[in-house]
Amino acid sequence: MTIDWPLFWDSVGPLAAAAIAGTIPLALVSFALGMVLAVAAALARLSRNRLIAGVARLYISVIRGTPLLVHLFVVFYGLPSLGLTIDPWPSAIIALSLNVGGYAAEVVRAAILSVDKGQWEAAYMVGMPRRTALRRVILPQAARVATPPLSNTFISLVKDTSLTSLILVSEMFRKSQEIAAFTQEFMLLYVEAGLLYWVICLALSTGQSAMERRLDRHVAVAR
Amino acid sequence: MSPSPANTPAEPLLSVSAVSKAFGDHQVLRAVDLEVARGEVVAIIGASGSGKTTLLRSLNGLETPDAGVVTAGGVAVDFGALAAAKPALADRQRAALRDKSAMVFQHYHLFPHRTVLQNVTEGPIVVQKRPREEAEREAYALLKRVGLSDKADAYPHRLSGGQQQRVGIVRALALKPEPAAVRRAHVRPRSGTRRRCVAAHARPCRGGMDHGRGHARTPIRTRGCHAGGLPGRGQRAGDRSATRYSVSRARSARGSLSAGSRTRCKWQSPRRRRRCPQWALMVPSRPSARPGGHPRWNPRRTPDVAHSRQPKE
Ligand SMILES: Nc1ncnc2c1ncn2[C@@H]1O[C@H](COP(=O)(O)OP(=O)(O)OP(=O)(O)O)[C@@H](O)[C@H]1O
Ligand SMILES: [Mg+2]
Repeated sequence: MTIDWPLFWDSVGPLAAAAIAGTIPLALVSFALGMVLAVAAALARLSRNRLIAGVARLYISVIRGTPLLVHLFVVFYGLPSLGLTIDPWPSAIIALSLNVGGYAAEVVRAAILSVDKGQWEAAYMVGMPRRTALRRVILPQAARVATPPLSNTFISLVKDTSLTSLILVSEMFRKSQEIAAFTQEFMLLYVEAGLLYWVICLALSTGQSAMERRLDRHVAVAR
Repeated sequence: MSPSPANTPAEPLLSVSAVSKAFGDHQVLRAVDLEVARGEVVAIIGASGSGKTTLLRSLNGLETPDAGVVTAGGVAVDFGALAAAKPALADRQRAALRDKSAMVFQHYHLFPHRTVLQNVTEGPIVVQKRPREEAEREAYALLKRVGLSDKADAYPHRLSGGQQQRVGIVRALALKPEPAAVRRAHVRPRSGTRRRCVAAHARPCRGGMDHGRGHARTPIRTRGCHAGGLPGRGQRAGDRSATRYSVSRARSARGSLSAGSRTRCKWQSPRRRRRCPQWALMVPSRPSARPGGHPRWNPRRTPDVAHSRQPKE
């Protein structure tokens, strides 16, 4: 087997462009929305209100118990039969955010629970109500604990965006499918797409280490 | 809950009546009564595990006794009724009680993600909404008194245990509570530091609690630092002639802390001061100069429990 290097180099440009215009913004937006959902769901699960906690528990259970591809298909291909037609991009963002929200909720909940009870008491002692205590004392400390697992979630998400090629989102993997179909060079283009995902994830891991160092700066950490 | 009128000197600043608390079938507090007037320093002595911390935490609403009433600075909370109350109301009452006190935890619990200065100003700025410059100025002054001016920008994990403890004390004092609960107030730094430390929590605040071994002397030292004289032989501990701060025993210390323990609420006489009280409660003797309350007390926080957490119209 020979490698068609000219095609390889010619396709790097379009694939990188699709990553910058599709994969990365899709991952960032979905992650941001997903984190909002995740914090809300985690707090709901910790709520004293049984109903709210129950709803959050159900949401997490459904998301974790069903495949992402099914969510994408339900939103994009399923909802139109209920009269609700959503474009590829918004569909992808909805499904991915819901997915991230469900997974990250458990991470956030565990991180909140990991903060020493004494921190809650100290916050109450200085007169903070529960909400302020969460925002000013507990969540900043939980963030430190949650960063490594959430980075994992984010890296998975970047790769999961490739599934949205199946609902016609023009992200990087869809681009590689298009070029491969045109040139019939399937092996080359799919491996190339894989390499580009790897490069993105390497960059993210570097970012993760920097962020962890930053968050660890005020605690004595064993290294 | 019955909001009582503002403190008059005659009325105890802090009163605990018939407070009981059990963990499972382990009865830790059994109908404890305690009254502390302004100007009193109270030491509660007891074996480890006899319930001193539990009593203190109850004063701060961090523990919910099964029964009994705690009144602090005009806020009365009936814990017996609290169990049946709606969670939101119970939270409000606990919060109102917290407004009237402060404490230093046995393990300090400083905020690790904030500098020493931010630890101290967190309550004044975020909760009491006082202007930043004013809060910081006061924080620097308090830190200076405990010899920690140069650590204002350090993070807690860089401090020694004793330094963390002093930050804990300053954090409690910066809240300007009515009876401040300062526990385990000092390890034993150089004696000069220690005296400053005591002075710090005696002067600007309205009271303090001390927890730790070897601090039976604390109240006396407090007098010493302030008025330059220990009470002489035969001089009654409650004698206020020499000092702003009087030291006296709790007037009514009935009830037992823990079954079988020899815990007492008692003033330690100078002769027995080698025996260590586990904590002491100090309340300055001067009634507030202004009838409307302590001059520095945040007027936005009304003493009435029922209204204290409700937004202003
Ligand atoms: N949350 C809890 N659940 C169950 N038991 C508890 C709890 N907190 C305290 N206790 C028990 O209550 C008793 C009193 O505890 P407390 O912390 O008040 O003791 P203490 O007098 O402060 O002791 P020390 O001098 O060692 O600090 C102990 O026997 C302890 O085991
Ligand atoms: Mg204790």
